[in-house]
Amino acid sequence: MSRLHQYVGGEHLRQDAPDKVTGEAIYVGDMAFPGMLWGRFKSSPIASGRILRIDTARARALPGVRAVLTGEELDHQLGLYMADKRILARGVVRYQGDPVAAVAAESEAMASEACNLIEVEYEPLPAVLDVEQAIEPGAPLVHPDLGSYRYMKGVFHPQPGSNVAHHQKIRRGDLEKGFAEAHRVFETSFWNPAVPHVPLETHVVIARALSGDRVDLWTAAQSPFTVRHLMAAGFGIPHNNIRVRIPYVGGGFGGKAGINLEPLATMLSKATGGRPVKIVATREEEFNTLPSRQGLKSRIKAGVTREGKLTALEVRYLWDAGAHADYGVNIGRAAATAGAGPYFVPAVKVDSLVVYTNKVFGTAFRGFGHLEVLWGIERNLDMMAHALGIDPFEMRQRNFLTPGEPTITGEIFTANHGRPDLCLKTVADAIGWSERPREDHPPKRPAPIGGKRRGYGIASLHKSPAMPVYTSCSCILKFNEDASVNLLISGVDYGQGTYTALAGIAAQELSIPVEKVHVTWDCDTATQPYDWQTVASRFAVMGGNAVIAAARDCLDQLKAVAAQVLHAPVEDLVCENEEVYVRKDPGARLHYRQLVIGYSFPNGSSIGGPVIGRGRYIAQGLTHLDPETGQGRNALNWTYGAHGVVIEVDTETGDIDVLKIASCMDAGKVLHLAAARTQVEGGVIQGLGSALIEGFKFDESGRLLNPSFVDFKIPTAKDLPREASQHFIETPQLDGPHGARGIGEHPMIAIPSAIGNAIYDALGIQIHELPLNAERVFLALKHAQPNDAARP
Amino acid sequence: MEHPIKLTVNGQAWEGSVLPDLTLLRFVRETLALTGTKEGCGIGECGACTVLLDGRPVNACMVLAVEADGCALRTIEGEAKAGKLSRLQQAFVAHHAVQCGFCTPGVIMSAQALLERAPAPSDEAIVEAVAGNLCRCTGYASILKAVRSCTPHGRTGGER
Amino acid sequence: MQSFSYEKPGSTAAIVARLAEAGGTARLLAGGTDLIGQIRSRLVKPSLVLDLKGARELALLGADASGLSIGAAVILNRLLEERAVSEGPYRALTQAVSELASYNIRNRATLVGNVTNASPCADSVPPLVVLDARAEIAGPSGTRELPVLELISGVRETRLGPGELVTRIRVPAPAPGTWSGFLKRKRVRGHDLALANVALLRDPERGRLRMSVGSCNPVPVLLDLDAMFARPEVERAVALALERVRPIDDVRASIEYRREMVAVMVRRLFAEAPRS
Repeated sequence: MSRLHQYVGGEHLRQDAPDKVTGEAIYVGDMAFPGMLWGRFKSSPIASGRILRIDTARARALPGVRAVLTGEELDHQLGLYMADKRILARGVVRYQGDPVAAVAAESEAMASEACNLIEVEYEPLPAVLDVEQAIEPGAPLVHPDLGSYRYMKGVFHPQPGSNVAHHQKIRRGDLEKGFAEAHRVFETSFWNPAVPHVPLETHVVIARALSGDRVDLWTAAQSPFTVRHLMAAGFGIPHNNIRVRIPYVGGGFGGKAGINLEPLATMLSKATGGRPVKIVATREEEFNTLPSRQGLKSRIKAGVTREGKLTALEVRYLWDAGAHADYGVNIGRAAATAGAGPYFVPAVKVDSLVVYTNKVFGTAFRGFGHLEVLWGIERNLDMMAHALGIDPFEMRQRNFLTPGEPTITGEIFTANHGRPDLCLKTVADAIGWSERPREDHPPKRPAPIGGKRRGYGIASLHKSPAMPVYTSCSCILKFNEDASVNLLISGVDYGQGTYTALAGIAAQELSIPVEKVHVTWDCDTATQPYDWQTVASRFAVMGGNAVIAAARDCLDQLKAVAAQVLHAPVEDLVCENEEVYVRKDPGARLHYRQLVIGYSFPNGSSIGGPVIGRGRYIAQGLTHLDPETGQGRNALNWTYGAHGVVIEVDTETGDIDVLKIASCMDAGKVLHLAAARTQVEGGVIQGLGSALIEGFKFDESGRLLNPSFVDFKIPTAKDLPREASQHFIETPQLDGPHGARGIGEHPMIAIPSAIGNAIYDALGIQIHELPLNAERVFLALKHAQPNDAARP
Repeated sequence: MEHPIKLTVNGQAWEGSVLPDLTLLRFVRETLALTGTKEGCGIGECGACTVLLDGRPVNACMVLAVEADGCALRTIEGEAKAGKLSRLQQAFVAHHAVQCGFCTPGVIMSAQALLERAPAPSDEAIVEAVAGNLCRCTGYASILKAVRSCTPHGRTGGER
Repeated sequence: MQSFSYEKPGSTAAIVARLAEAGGTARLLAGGTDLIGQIRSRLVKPSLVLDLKGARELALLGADASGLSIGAAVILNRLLEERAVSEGPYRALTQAVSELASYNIRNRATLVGNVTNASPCADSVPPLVVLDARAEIAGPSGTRELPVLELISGVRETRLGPGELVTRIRVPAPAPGTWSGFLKRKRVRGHDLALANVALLRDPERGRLRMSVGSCNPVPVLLDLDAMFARPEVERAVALALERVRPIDDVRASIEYRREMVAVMVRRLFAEAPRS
């Protein structure tokens, strides 16, 4: 085998980097069309209320205003998994930030002014803001008509007449017996706030509603084909009538999955007779109106033996979906399947309830619920370990899934699944876990206030892609005259580096220089092949397999023509370094250039034709989960990982300085080392944001208190760990491309858990809520002091 | 009322009139059609709109276009000369310091200004110079490496 | 943004004249980092914006034996670039300025703007207060001076009369041997508003010990601790500070945490200050 053109696992340069460092990269916000109008919307100032009156007369009268819409004119119910969303609020508003009216005007300023002139009168209704109150009988219903909504049947189980949009049950083993066999039983609760994605590019879309029910969209979205599908389903028009184009996207992190502002822009365009309408969300709207990560309340009851082996686990997850649970239901489902951690638990009962409240709604966010559930699970595991006098590292090692054992959904863990144990050992070694100071760590009593204290923390993680069982992907490779290749695929690279990794796979498979593979960046549903959604860390895996298939299809075509020219059987031909040659007669060779648009014999007669490779991949062997027991196979693969941290806490202020953070993922095979490393670097910092800084705050009326960068802070270059290392284990995934698994989301999962565990090691206090900001840490320590009452 | 202004844009003279309420950001993106400069928040908190005004990096959303009268304005579009990336741009490519790319022009302008005013900045100075530019993708490590690689001690400098 | 007209007068006198003519509907533009945000969010609706940067004298930064003179158009980063300012007894001021917003914002934002905007959490104010800084004011009836602390009368309120503007801040040269320091608490290490901030000044020549606490009350608190100059009693200073501060509970922090952090910062500044 030739060592030429080996790119898998390499560090070839990102294909998008030159466009992005020069400012040449075009994002939707940079685009304009002749006759383009600006769309803006007006949103609800209250969390729950009946719309008594909307007066748009003054807005309509404003010069330059071309259309004004309210919910009354838009009878569409939209959604991917649970169609519970209107384009504009109709009858009632369900959260502060809920759009109630929209305007298209000749300029953005006119559109804003017109929105200001729209008068809306509300009758405030009781708002339900807390998930526990929301599931009480008699709680105000966020969606009284839940029973009439369209949803994905067989997968989700809404409970009409309540605020429960989905109840995911997982039942395995004999719970009673499990708890009876336990040496000790622990019960604990945890809480995560809602957190927004904060892509630097806010949501932006341009829509043209054309004659004959056709729609052209340019949008900052993660998934061109799902945008198209949801538009088609929502408006009842054929898929082919909708063309979705996605140029460069300025970050998504899940927030640009599904559809967001596309339907509104389309309806505004329609109302203006088809003029292009552009909507750019302001940063405040990005926080206040567009979706965030759901909040979560976890209640965990766990039984363990004296030796620390888990015997039973009973968990209730209450997801704070906010006003819409379209995507939230799938998070409640998927995260529940991972809701015991990467451990073998003989008896499990998980109830994961996705609950409506009158707050900004939730959607996919990097980690898809796993950061949230593992905040509880991985903290609880440490608490039990300390109570039993077992080292938290050892406690995990005793419980990790080992080959032959079932996961909580009944999937049998095999040696090919990956090595959670080795990931944990790698990070433990990297932070010096076994040599950590034990004297007074964790302290028996809460540490006294004064000076700084160090703490060590570890946490494990796992996640599988959350996706429909039939998820598929396809790829086209088309050769150009010079034997360069265009790679067409419709997952979107909104920063992850996937395209660059796929280019490497294609180049290696075709044995050509990677510089000759050009991934077509702008996705277009009219010209590019189908892909489901760019979410769930499944694109490198499924896309990689599709690319390999497409490349092999190209090679077959090249060989078929070459066989005729070289008078050799196809099986004797070798493709290497842009040439096809006969294995036993290497002098007989053709350059790809001679073949890729068709071969011409010296006399002019020609054979073959343009080489276009086609590749596809579909998830195989997956099943729906049983509605009563949650048993089934829903995981394409599992990626395991772990983080280890060393922190220093200033006991006088609560400040946490992350001295060291080590992260390890079992990637199966690292497809592109620099992309993998930078994904982990970035994901870890995003995880530290969730751990230390970020969280929405609402007042008692449901108003969001921090909807801007003034009061919603994310990590800056000054907020970094002193030292961060990234490690990879490679236990090949049997059906992954070159053995690879996804690692896009995993770096941010379990970061809060590791920090929380380290805080206990440092201070001897257990904090159950996120974020672990200085104020929370300090006040927790202060109130744990024996003489607390005497303090100011 | 429109105000006549004169300035240089990436070295070339520009003359025209602007309304007083036009921000420098909109002037750059809409009047000049230089869309490499991005808007991330509009309130001076994210740095995506960083441009250089007389050599100093500023958030263009917090400046009026009329205030740029008589100034030398530099945007990301002026950094590559004759199709060749600047040293710093090359470093961003080489260090994989780009992900979604939306913050990238602003970060490069902030860092470029630093390298011009202090050719051998300390790690601390590099962090100070780019800390006003929010990035949600990279976690900053690769950005700091890229900038550091453009300093004289870049090759030997320790990791932060 | 809604529209307004813009003028850039060439002198302080011309600014004063236009300010008087325009009545209350004119706003002054120095760095714009507060004003443009306020116009965008419709907090203010000026009909006229007067750019101070046309008046050459307002762009002057003087540093000599008599002290500092900081014109209304002097950007914050220039204070950090001026050696005479960033080292020595003015240190509290430059520490505050270096923690104020991001580097790029400080290329537009001015010290005078930070003061006259009269935000309770303005970082430069506590250092200016302990340094006895005075605001030079120009107006229809001539010029006058006010101590910075007296200039600020409440949340976003000053004692500037109609048609008046602060033309410069004067910081008298501290006596030889003077030390000053500043601490700020915020939610991230990056740019953020203060939850609380404290400046301390120790002037051995005049036996002065002055402390100012910001971001707790509508107007920063000044504590005259001269009486304990010879024998500083840190816990008494903490108690005095906590007696005076009235922080609020808000999205940034709780009253309890703000009070605790005021105490910590006072202790840390006392520990840092030279003993003799």
